[in-house]
Amino acid sequence: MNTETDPLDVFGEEAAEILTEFEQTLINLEENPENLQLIDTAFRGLHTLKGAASMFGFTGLVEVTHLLEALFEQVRNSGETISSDIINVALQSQDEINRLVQGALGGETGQEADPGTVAAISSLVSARKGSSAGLLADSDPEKTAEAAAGAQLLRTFRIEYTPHPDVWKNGGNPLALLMELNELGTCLIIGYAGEVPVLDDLQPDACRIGWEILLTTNRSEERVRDVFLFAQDSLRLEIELIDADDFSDSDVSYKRLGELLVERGDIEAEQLQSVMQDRDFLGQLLVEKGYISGERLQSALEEQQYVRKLRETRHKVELSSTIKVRTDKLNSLVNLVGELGTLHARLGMLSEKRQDEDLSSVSEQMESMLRQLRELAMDMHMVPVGLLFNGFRRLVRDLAGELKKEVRLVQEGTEAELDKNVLDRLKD
Amino acid sequence: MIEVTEDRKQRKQRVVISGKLTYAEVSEVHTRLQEVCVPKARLELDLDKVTGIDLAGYQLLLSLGRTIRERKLKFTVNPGSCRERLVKLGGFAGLPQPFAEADGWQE
Repeated sequence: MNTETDPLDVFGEEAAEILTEFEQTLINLEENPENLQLIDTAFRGLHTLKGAASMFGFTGLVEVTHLLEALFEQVRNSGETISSDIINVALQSQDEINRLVQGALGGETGQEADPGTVAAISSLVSARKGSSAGLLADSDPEKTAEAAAGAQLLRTFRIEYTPHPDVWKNGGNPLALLMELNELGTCLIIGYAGEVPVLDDLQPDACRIGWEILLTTNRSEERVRDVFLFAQDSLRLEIELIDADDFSDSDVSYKRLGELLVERGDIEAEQLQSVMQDRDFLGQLLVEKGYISGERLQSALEEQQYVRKLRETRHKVELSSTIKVRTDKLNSLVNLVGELGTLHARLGMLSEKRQDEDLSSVSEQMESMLRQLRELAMDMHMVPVGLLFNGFRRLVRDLAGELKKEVRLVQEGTEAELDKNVLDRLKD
Repeated sequence: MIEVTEDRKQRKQRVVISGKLTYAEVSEVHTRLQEVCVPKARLELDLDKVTGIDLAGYQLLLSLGRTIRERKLKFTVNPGSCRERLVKLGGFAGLPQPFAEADGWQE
């Protein structure tokens, strides 16, 4: 069996799949313009295609997908209903992307994107940029929060919180804030007690404790900030998004310790540079040199572990939910199951001929398992018949637009399944 | 409330904290603790009768723990029923235990 696969073929298959889904998503969006999940699906598809195209250096393709991705990101962030202008331009762009993909697969690597398409997307992006400030100011924060929650995207925030020393005097309760954060999602709370001095230097009514909190939640940043509404006088209050389901930088290994410490403001870049010759003991050296306290180092290490674990879990979930298998491999599996059936029939005949009860029992058990295996193999080969008619939706839509007629295409029973080979023949 | 008694035979001071150890009480307890935490002191701390503790009380115990370690004082603790409160609060707030390494903590 040939297992070697040309990366360009994989790209072609993936692009075709993404473009088909993108087209269906756009038509569905036209019918349900408020569906944030569809906007998210469109965004993700474009993002994946852009990444794949940039790996191969297909610059024209990268340009169009990047612009479209930016447009969908604007729509997603604003929580608005998608307009018919955007749908029209996106569908035209999809045709252009399709053309660029076919060209790339045919060996044309230096293709440029159609200037008309680029201009159409760009003008929509710029127009929205101009109005976005007003939109944000007018938007209801609760609505935005709900929209973000509806999207069910998980985000991880790093919250650095050191209360004002007079927090207790002023009736504040830092523990209550931690509890409120805990209710918003999953929290890793790291307390800093290094500033709590010996008894002689302690002012018992002044708070000297601080925290770093890693919060993973599907709530918006605004909702997280709301927790600290009455803690604006804090000595330190920084809330930063460090990870999200749709983060472009979602490398499972996360950041290196040195990079992370500089980003968190724990050390200066120059200090990191001065100890970089001994990378294995970086943390230890930084503490020894007095650049960073032991507890800040510990908290950075915990953050590193936390985000790595989060990303590993996400990666596993993504891997386990679906897996792509080439159809030729599936065909081989079906053939092997067929041959196994023949072999089993011979075994049955043999056991009958020899009147061997043990052999006969094994043959019966094997028959039952073989039946299950056959059903499973056939099931893997089945696809919804609706795939055959998906193309009609776009065709009818465009025709209706051209002829200025209102046409509604109704398809029923599209979830019925058909063998992929039969479906491919019908398509041809 | 804090009560200090001197055990002359064993040459050590017994410090018993009882009732609530919260923001309202920390100033008084802090003053008494400062008085007993002198160099070369031998201390026995009893927390069994503490009925409630907040972050201000926890911070005071963290400070006491630090003082004991830095001054290398002879120290034993009987956390008693307060142990669970300290573990719960410290665990939730991600803070170290004030007397995790002291004699008596694990018993």
